[in-house]
Amino acid sequence: MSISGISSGDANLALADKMLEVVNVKAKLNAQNIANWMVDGAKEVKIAKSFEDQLKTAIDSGHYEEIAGMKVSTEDSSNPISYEKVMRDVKATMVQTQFLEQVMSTHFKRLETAIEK
Amino acid sequence: MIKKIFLPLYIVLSINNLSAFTLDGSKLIPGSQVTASALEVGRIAMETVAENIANQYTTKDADGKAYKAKHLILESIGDGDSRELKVKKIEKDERKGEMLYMPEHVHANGEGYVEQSNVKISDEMVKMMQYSRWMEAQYVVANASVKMVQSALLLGK
Repeated sequence: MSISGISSGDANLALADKMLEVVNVKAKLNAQNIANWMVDGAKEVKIAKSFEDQLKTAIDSGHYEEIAGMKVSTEDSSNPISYEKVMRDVKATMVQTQFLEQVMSTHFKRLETAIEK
Repeated sequence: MIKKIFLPLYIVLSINNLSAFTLDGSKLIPGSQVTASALEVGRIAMETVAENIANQYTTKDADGKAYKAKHLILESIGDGDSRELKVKKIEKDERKGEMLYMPEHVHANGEGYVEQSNVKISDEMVKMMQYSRWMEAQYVVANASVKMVQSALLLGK
């Protein structure tokens, strides 16, 4: 999911846009992790630490324009897949999605009102 | 007038930029491909458990020997979005079953012993519970993904 065409120029929206992409990838990872739970020796797949660091640096330094160009990458963790952790991640991802969608919806509504006026 | 021009433009921009959304259903719902393959594997796994339980007392199989328990060897293939779960092999547990002294049995050997199947019912029940829990988790994940897509479609409403 991405709305980068509309979000360009708005820092918060650019961040929300990237986070929507992240939750979409997280949903895929949750599906992969739970599917591989029964595979012997399977390791958990997660969002890459390098991406998290890159995003954090961009936010801390206020370089929001860099966020849109960041690619959400994943990596294999050294931890085995935990059923409970994946189930927790599924719920967390859903809550994050709902929050981001509310942010987006509010923004769109404001935009729509502005256009109507 | 402005609304007439800009609203369709926003919709077009949104659709153009919804990179994860395509008309291909497997890409529309995140992780649906791997979940579908895992559900298929789950079905095979449940069938194997059912076969093992059904043959717990089989003392002569198609190959003329006592039934041997079957186990699934799973593997994850592919990378990234195209990752899938497959049954690599259905392996037979070649360990010998318990020998019971039953001289009247039609499958008794020269000394009167009958080899039993090596299926352990307790192991099979544990496996069945594990597979069932696993499949339930697949449904939970698939449901969550569908809800995410549904709510994304309602953005701005």
